[in-house]
Amino acid sequence: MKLFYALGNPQTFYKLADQLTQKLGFMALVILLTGWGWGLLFAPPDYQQGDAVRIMYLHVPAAMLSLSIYAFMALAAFVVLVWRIKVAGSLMRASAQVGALLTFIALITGSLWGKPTWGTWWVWDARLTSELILLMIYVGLLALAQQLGNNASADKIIAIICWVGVIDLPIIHFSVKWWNTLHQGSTLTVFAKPKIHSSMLYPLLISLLGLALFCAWLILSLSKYAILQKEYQKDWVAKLCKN
Amino acid sequence: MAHGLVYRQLLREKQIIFRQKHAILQPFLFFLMFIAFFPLILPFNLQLLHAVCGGVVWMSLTIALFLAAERFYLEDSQCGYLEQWLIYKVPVYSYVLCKWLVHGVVQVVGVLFCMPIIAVMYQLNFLETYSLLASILCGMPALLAMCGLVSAFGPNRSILMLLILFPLIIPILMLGSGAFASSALSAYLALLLALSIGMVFILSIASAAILKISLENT
Repeated sequence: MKLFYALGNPQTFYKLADQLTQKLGFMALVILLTGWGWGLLFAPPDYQQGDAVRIMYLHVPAAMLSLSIYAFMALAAFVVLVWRIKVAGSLMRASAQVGALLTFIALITGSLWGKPTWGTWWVWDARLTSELILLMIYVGLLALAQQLGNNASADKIIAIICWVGVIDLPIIHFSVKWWNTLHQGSTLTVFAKPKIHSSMLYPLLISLLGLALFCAWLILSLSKYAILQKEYQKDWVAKLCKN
Repeated sequence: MAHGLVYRQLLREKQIIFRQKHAILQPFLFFLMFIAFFPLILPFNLQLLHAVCGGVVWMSLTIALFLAAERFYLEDSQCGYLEQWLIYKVPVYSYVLCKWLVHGVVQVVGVLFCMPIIAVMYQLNFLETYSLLASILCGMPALLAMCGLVSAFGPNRSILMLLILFPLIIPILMLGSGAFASSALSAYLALLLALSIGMVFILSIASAAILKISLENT
């Protein structure tokens, strides 16, 4: 509990984030290279799609992370609304940027994957439409963040709008279950055996872990810079810059 | 005493509307006008009209509701009445809900008047008119809640907020226009009603929070 309040102090958070990002960046690079190297070079091609299936190692982690980062942003937004911690506000804004990027990647790679396999760049089915809505919500939050400025009441407004938009998350997740969609159903679930063969499953999971670590590194770096910008008048920032 | 205040606020809303009827009639006429334009400008093809009817009516309803909602908090914030509500012990979401309730009733009466006109313009039979009316009645609270939230940001920011929150209005519009002349009508109505109830509850609290924040800045 004490750690939680200690993290609310910008200086402590900056120090911790600094140490974490050094380790995270290196780990992310190694694991991503392993996962993508394995997936792109050594994993077997699909019996129907051929080598086009290899875009899965970017598309699936990006899509899963676009949802997880929104959930993390909603958590940071909750901390902003209840405890009014400014560090959580910086984390929320940083994760909005990274989440928007990942959603965009998921949509573009999905579209590229769909052209050879489904024969179309886009179709208005449930999962694609709700993911596009998620991108619009992210971009809306970024527009708000830029227009409202970098103060505490802006943080509160962004947090409220983030929670208003959180309803999209279960819609995207269950869209393949609730509707008859062109997008395939879920192959990885928590409780059941995965429906994908292990020779493709392992590089997929490693790529997912690598991309997750990369996003964590990116979010922490962005929030570090945001904290430096906000606290530029403090002594500890001046000392840091002198070194 | 809180009950008395909410009741008096309801009466006050009704009074405000009846003293400035043009504030309600102008969006209402815009609604009718928008709907009337489509049969005029589209090529005369009955199947085309039937296909676009649901979407057109719902889009015009959205814009008309937004235009009416822009004036929700305008006068109250200018004369200081809103500030008094915000610092009083009664929770602000009851003020927001009063406004939405009175405006919702007025909109419903308006839509009921419009239904025969729309039915004649688009040459709908009874079942199609009924599905349109039922979908509007079930989904309008959700639209009203979203427009109410958009207007809580203040008169200068409302269009920007509408653009930002439009992705959340899309599901309501999709369900509403999908319900038109559909065989699974009760399913669409159930979903619309669920969306309405959920959004009215959650967005009234969100609107109250936004109103309080806007006050902190001024």
